[in-house]
Amino acid sequence: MQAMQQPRSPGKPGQQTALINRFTRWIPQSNLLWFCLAWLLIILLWEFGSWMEWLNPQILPPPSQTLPYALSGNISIGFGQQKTGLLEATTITLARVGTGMLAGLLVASCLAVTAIELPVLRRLILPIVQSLAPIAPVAWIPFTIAVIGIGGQAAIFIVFMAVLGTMSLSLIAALDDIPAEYLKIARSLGTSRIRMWWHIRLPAIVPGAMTAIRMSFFGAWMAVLAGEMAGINSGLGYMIIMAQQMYNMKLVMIGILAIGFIGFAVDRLLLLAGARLLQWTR
Amino acid sequence: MDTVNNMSQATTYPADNTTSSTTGARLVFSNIRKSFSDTVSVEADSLIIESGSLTVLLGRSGCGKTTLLNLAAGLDFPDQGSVSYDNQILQGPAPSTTLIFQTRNLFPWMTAEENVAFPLRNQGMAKTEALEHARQYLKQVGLESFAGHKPAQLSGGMRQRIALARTIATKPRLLLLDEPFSALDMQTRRMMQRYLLDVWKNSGVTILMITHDLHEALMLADRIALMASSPTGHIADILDIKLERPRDPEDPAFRTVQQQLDRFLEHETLLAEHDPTLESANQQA
Repeated sequence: MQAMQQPRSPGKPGQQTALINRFTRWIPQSNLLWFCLAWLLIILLWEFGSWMEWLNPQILPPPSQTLPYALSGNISIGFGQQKTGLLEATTITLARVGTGMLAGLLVASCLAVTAIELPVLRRLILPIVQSLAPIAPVAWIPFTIAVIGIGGQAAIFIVFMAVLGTMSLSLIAALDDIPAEYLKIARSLGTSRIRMWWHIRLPAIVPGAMTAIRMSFFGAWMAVLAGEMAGINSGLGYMIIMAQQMYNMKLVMIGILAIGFIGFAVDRLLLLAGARLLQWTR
Repeated sequence: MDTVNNMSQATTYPADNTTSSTTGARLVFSNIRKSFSDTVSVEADSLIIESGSLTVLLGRSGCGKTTLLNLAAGLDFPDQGSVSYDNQILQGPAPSTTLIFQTRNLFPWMTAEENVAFPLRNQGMAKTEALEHARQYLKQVGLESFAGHKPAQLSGGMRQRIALARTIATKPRLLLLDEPFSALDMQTRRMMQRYLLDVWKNSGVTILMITHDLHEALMLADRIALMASSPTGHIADILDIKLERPRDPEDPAFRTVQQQLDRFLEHETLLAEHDPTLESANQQA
């Protein structure tokens, strides 16, 4: 122990340890730093694997080829009308997820309000949403392509079906879980039906609803990509399939990474939005 | 059952410069039977709560106190019998009635002033005016500087004071309190009891309050309805408390009544301990 302390004691030990303390405290707290570190590690392993020829660079091109290609700004696949760029494909897919989720949220909200206001209809609504919820979102793809076709509406419909059941169930559960005291007090304070929904029930279920939206986003994100890979003729999933068919493995890798990063980013954004809405819990 | 301390005289609220006044509601429970399951039920043959009186329901948990309070609020309805409010049988939420619970009285997503302004907004008052009024009522409970705080940022006692401020704002004729101070420390509880008595004296509101705290019941009540839980929840006795106000726990008269009630509660506890069905009922409740 003494031997270890000796080199530190001369000079200005206080200043030095303070700096180290600050640094060591900062590292575990910075999520961004850990995020970058984790990805750096993966990229290094990937590069190393290619360099050692464990990975066939024809099938899995190393980052030293993939990344410059990704940043070249000219990544697209196909010819003529079928030509699809990464940015364009991503925008299309995100718009589909957004539209489908918004529609799902809207219909789920209507179902939840009906279920609470009209106990008779609740008995009809619950079995429907309970049997919709466990259906895997991808299971809707064959049905949708057969019925609606391979256009954008089909993708939106898949997202809608993917989120409707779980969102309705979560909203109804959140509404049922509102502490009875709030409702009793609001009623005794002469709150009208509309104000009850707007000022009491809605803010009370925001935590549950935000979690429901985040969870169903993952389902929707996966379902729409699977749909685009299975036949729908545009979007990020379609781009990846096209790239694979044309043997552009760099683009396949970039597509996969884009799926991951965008999914992560949207989830973070929803989390931040939720935290803003939930300031009252702290 | 004679009635004492009829305090129904109309009084003005101190915050208001207007001449608004109120008379407490008169509540009558008659031949009430209400059951939830095979094990939990409550009976009240006759309980009259006079206008402007302060009645306390005293008893151990599981004897149906909260049930009676819900019936009085018109949030629940008896299987048999009726609750009448100023000679009208209650068919829905009781008019001009405010509830205060042990916790969760304030809506956590609203600030203190928004909470107090909420019932005023329900009545159609404009937002700025309602908030202006709300700050006046907060001033009365000494919390005007916390108007913009959210409930999570305030202590339990402060929250109950804000709930009380909101109660004053709604000018109720009936105030129903379900163990409102049980979650507070002793000093805060004493302070809140004084606040409550002030509100009561200044407003003439009828108060029905639940507590399991004998001391609290004696400090506040005009009348104490003693509730027993065996064989079913029922009102075992109704006592008029004629002690002078402000009440002093050191007063020999106070102590005599306290001992009387103590004996009753102890007897009630012994009965319950020898009744296994009741214990399960308590666990459910």
